[in-house]
Amino acid sequence: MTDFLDYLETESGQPISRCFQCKKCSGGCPVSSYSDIKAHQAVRLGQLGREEELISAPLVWYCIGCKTCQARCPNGIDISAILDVIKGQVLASGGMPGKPLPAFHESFLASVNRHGRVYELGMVIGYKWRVKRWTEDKELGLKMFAKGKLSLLPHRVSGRRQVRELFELHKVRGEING
Amino acid sequence: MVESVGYYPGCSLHTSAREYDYSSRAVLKALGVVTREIPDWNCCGASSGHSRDHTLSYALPLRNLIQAEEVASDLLVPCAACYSTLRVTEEYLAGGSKDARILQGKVEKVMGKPYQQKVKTVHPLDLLTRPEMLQKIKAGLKRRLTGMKVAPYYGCLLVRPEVAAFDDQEQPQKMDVLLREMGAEVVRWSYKTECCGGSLGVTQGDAASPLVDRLVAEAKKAGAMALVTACPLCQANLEGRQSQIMPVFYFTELVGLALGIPDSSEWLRGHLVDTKSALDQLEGVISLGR
Repeated sequence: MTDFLDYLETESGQPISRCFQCKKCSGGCPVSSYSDIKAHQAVRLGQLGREEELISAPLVWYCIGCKTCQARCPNGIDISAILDVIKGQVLASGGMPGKPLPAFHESFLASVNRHGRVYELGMVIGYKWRVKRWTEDKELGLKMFAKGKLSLLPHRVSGRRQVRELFELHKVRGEING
Repeated sequence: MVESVGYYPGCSLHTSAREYDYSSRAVLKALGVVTREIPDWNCCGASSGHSRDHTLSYALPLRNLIQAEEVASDLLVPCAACYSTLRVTEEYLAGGSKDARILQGKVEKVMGKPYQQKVKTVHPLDLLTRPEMLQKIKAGLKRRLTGMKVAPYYGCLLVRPEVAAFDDQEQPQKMDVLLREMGAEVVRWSYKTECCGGSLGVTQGDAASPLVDRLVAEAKKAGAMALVTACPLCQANLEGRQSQIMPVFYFTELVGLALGIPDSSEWLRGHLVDTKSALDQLEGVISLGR
């Protein structure tokens, strides 16, 4: 067992070693055609400890966690949970500046961290700022605005301090009560 | 029998999916269910929460579960993504693993309140399709949806992961049953649980559009004139990213219409795709004040 496989299995809680490449995951994966590698290949890279290749695979970010792979896997592997480990690693180390999918998660979480809830308009502006694609989807945005689908002001949680502390919890050493 | 339930709208239902919020509350009220919004709820983290770290993916929903304990024992969550994160978190903590107990301790410390595992997360589609509720809906029908051909679309998070599923994972039926009880004609199609693109609809329209277009095309091929969803992100993607013209209803809007709730036509004004084409198919259309 490689160190990387060990790490991935522990962090994702998924029995990666059990995969025998039946490819049912890739057959049902909605984003199969958007990446150079498919779901079953991502698992194989994990098994072989090929960390660099897995981290740089676009599939990591195209995966939206629909969990079809998990529902169909005969070995009960949730591939999106494996890819989440990689996403987390990248986001924790400063993301991938200018790349739309990491930038979306950063903008979304920044909004939640700040207000306690997602402030959709602010989130979208933060996202556009990160990717510098101001005019993309302008029409859709205006249509949504016209239909009253975007609030001008954020809805804030009064327990914002608690929410901010929740964001830092992964750094806190825990102990078991009772 | 549920009479008073906790209610968690989630961020979308307060902004882009207001009609889902209004219709859910109105329908529940009409059926005699009192909804109590949980105090000072926060975002559940959605797909971004679990993309960052799993502590956060459980901590954000757990704060809501703790807040909900003050209100009621059942917590209704209309947004499929929020429903999923809350339900998964509830199960994770009920599992009682070492990691789960450590997380619980940390969140309790932040909040200064204990988590007592008293709340059960329920999706409104699950509640409305319980026999006693279906009975009430049937008894309260003011306008049957006869003539309306619809494709029930469940998407991902009502049926996956398995711990959160309240219907068959590959061939769910609850929305079908509900729609049929109201007189609608439910088409048979194979794309009920295919993904709409989720957050790709926000960031990568070019990637989400083909997924959405395939769903719309397949629904059309099956003879449907409208799609019915139970998720704000599915609804937004289906309406906003389709290149055709097919209305997309929240299932609660159709229940409201069938129960003759006066505000029903107001909810439909918020849609990006005009719903008229589907409503005109209703037999003996009663003016909806449009």
